[in-house]
Amino acid sequence: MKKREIGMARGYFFCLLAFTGVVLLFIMNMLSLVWPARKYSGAERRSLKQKPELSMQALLDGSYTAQVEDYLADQYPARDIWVYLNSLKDRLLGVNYQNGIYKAQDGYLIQEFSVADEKKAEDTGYQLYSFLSKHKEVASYIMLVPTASWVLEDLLPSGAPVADEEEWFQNWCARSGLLGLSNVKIVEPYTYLAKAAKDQQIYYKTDHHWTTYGASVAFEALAGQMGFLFQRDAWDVTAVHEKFQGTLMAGSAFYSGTKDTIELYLPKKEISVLVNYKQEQTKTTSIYSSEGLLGEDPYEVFLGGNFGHIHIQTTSTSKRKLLLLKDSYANAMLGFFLPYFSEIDMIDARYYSGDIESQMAIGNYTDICVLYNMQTFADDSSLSLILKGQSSDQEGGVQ
Amino acid sequence: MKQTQPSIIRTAFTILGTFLILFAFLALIFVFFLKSAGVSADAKRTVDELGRKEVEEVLAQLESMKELPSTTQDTDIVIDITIDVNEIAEATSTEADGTQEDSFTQKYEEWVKQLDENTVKNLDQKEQQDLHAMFEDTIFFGDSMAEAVASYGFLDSSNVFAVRSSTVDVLIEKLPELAKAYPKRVVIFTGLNDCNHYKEIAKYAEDYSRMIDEMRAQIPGVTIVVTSLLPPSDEVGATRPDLARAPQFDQELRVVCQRKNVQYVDSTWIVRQNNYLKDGIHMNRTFYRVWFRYLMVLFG
Repeated sequence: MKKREIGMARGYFFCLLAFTGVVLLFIMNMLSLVWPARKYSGAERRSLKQKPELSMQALLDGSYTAQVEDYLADQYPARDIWVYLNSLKDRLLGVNYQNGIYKAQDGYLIQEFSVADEKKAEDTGYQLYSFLSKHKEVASYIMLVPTASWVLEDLLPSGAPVADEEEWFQNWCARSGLLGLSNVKIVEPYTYLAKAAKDQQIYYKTDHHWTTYGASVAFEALAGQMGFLFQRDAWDVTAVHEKFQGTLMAGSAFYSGTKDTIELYLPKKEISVLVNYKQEQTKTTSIYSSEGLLGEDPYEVFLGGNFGHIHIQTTSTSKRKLLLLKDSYANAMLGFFLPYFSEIDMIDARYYSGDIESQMAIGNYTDICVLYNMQTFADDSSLSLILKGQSSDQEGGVQ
Repeated sequence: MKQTQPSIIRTAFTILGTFLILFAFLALIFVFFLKSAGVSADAKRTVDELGRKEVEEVLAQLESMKELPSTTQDTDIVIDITIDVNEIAEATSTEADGTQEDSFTQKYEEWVKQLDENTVKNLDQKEQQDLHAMFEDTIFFGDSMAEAVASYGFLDSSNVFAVRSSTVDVLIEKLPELAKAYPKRVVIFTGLNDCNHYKEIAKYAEDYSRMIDEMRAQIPGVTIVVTSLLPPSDEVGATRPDLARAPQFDQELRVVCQRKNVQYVDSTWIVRQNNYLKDGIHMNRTFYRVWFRYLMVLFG
């Protein structure tokens, strides 16, 4: 009798399990039909797939069904929660590596340094060489900023197989031949950053960018080479975001309560600027953007994001003019340049549509600075394209 | 069996309910962790405050800093470009005017000859750089005719604000966007869309005047330049009576410019039948090459 009851109870249990499964499958899938489609996931920082268009061609070659599959996965009801649950599971299982991101000590998420194609940076090096040797009269500075994967190496899980950034950098320097040019200085901020990292945070824990403090330390190194003195006490530090969770958290499944603080360094002696977003044809009077701060990626408080060509005029009495070839790391550092230059042209090769040589002719620059982080620089091919005179954005060239 | 049945449903609901509660709980945690806004109103105000200055204010500030050197530079440039160095040495001021005109006439005749013989050369590197420098603060405003300035690679896209197949009433709507760029000079280049769009020429003239007024109001201190509305090719003109009215529109445009005291640049003399694209409406690069050489002399 008892045995039979247990048997029945077990039967009910399995029935129930199957029943719940069917309900979940059925209801959730029904729900996903009516669930409103989102364009962008803030938590994952990426655009979500939209409903594909049905065409005979797409149906026949099988791409339509593949697209529908992606679409349904991306637009699953309450997707953010499932993603979070998955990360919770991973954390319980002790996973510490995902999508190229390590879960390191002290709450740091660190993107591993990796070079997919050695040729790219090598080519950029050659193009830089020929570009800078054409402009011998301009003092040039090249600063490749080491990423957290090198500076905070000790925090990575022990034995993590991360490519050696230092070795890559030394090799690149040697191969590019840039050291042989008399007008070029290669600024190495590593020792400064490593020293500073002992006391303060120089990288965000949840984002691949550096903190404004980190940028100030590297600027100190650069300023020494450029021939002016950086005084830390001439700047006020203001925190503008205290719960910043960056792209590394969004890009990995390591969601946690770790939060970062975004600080701005504002000069005590006020300086007026005119910021001209050339390609967007807009002018503003500040290099900081409150829209960026409140947007999906608060790091965009610096300049509102990355733009192809930004021309900045300042009320500085300096006669120096700077051409800054840069990636997003430079956005946090830009503020420090303002008192020392009367004009700055910031060119982000990835979005630039102009012709660099004619820009050189107009600009009358006294200084050129190449400012990238090593990871972006190692993966970038757009800089070598624009230095070659081909625009990466559109088919350029003179009639 | 009959007794146990309700309990199955009850258990099913209990489990589903538990699941839902768990789900809601996780959702709450999730919202707490990821969606919490970390920007205080103060911080936003700080950042807003940094950009409180008006663009005009800073422009004026920058201008005042450069005042002394820039005035002398300006006259330098005028002398450099319009008159050859040798000529300055020889010429008195009245003769200088004459030689200036002469050299312009010479250039003009050369351009016409090149156009007729179809031997117009590319802009060389020097010309290209002069072009960039001269039009750095200029925006070419209009439809596809203006768009070609950038797409042919003469200037950067930052120098062009074009709305394809736009008519004057559409362009008026776009003025606030143009104003954000605070251009010093705007060159308006519109094409045949208006001839197709406006039944009456009077309405066209009215809208165009309004556009000029609005532009002056929205972009303080801007210099406006208007360039001809070009006719279609003879072939297209023969089959499209609406587009064939182009010369009348252009005539009206000149009147508007005169009335509004806006510089009108006649570029109809550059048009040659073999410089049309296949559509018989747009011009090829040859046209723009001569056009830009002409503009450079006019504004130099």
